[in-house]
Amino acid sequence: MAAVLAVGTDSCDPPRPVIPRLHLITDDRVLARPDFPVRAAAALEAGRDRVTLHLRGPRHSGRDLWEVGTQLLAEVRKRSGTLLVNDRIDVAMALGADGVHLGMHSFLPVQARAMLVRDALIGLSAHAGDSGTKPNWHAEGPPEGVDFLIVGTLFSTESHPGRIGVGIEGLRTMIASARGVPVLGIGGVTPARVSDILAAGAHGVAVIRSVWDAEDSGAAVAELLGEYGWDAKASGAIAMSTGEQAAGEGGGEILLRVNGAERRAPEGLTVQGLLEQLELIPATVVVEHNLEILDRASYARVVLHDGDRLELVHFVGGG
Amino acid sequence: MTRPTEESGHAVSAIETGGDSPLRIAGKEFASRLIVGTGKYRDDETMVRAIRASGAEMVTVAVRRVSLDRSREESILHQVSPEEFFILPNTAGCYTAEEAVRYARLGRAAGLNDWVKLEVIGDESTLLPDVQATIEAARVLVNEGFKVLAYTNDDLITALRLEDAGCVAVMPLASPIGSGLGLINPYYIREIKSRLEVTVIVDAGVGTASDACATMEQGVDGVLMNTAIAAAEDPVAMAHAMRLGVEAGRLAWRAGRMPRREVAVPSSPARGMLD
Repeated sequence: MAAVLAVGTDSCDPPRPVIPRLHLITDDRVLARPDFPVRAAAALEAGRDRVTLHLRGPRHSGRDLWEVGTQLLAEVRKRSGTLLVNDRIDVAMALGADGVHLGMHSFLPVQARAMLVRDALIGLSAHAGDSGTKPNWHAEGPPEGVDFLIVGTLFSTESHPGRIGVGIEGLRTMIASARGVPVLGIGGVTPARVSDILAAGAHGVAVIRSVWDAEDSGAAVAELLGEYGWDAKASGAIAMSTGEQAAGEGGGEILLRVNGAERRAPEGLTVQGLLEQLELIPATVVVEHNLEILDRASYARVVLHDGDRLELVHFVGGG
Repeated sequence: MTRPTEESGHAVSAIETGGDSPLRIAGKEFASRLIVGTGKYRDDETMVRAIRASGAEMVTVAVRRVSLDRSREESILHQVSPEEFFILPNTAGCYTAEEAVRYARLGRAAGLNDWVKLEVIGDESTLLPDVQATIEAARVLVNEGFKVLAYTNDDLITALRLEDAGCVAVMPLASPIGSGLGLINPYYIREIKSRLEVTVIVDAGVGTASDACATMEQGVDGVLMNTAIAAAEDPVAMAHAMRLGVEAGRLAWRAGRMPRREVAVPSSPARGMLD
């Protein structure tokens, strides 16, 4: 029985794959290239479990996407990476991919969640609104069921020349209204811009051209990952080290994981303080702090530290 | 036609039908043998009205993350007051013993009681229980002082193991959760009830009032349901029907049914017929 007691899972919700910090996205043009399979293999080899490949080809048929996807998934699985399918939930299901990435005209995230397996990863694209910095989901925050957001366009790009980039400031605004859902930046991302994007609080970046149009896609991935400040071979506790780095730059900030979402907080914050920030009434909530359930009387005493994991739960309707 | 009244002697009087002992679990007594869930209702008001119509005193709740944007659901306890109902936290949605233990502890930390409806699911499409993990989790939780009401399959051996583990109630299913298929295996349910000393409550699978009635006719101590009421077209009316079904089934079991025969036996005397 000791084994049962000792084992702590990250969360009692089904374990979700960690959201990699570098997302490689395809398009119709990239998929059509004869050297795409070779490039994809090279990019995956360089990124392994730190990259997510997005199979995206809006003008490809479902059957064609499935055929390309079958090969890609085999390559992804060999290297413990993840494969998401853009928009096409049916293709993701047929492939047994890790999840889907949805656009503004896709099914809603909750609908996708209902169709996919429990632990499917679900991303959503959120473009800057007309004002340039206002995200299209600004009123209520990201919709329910979303694991991460890809926001942009950060910097004007060749693929969307008419679109004005929201820049680092726009990214900050969007992260602030993402309510803790991890945000990745897209649009004109180059290795030189990665550190600024991460410093703004982004979870990572998503790229199309800077990998697929590079002379060597594998080298391009390695270069982008190099900008994250990781040892190229290191794996594992990546999330935490990047979090510490970003918080350090902010000054006096710590990075918490609250109910599965990253959340920045000032140093020295107590559990009581966190509940106040979240406008939760302590008497209605149970707090689990790094897998240990806290006594309500201790909320004011327990100081939170960088990397702490908190689960705030309550009773809901159930059978 | 006039309705039968107690005065006219047509209705069974309270004295004749009374005398049933209350539902006893871990030393606590409940007048109602129906336990209901609080999930899947279309709105809170319907839920509260339905629960009241069911006459249930014990209701189940689930433990979930608080939504941090504050715009969504609040605690169910705002609707279903612990003053009015006995709250039974569940471990629904857990797929391992570790998860279930964790959820049970979180539920207890809410400070209402140390009871838990233990549920460890083994399969996503049928939601059938992982009986091995359920027994494992039950032992841990009993050790920690929990009053464990364990959801399980209609399997006698598992039921006996759960009783051995110290569960205060064993809760075999009538049929899969949310299926509404009714009592699939009355023989096994009867067998479990006859072999266990602890309380036996049939949990899950009841679809309508006749299922509740048929289940209680097996002699079990109670029935737990959620979807059959919540997903009915009129949940409040169905809750009332379930209450009557449970009461009718209990009474019928206590009354002792006539033996089944494979041939007809006339109800009227054979004697005194005309030539």
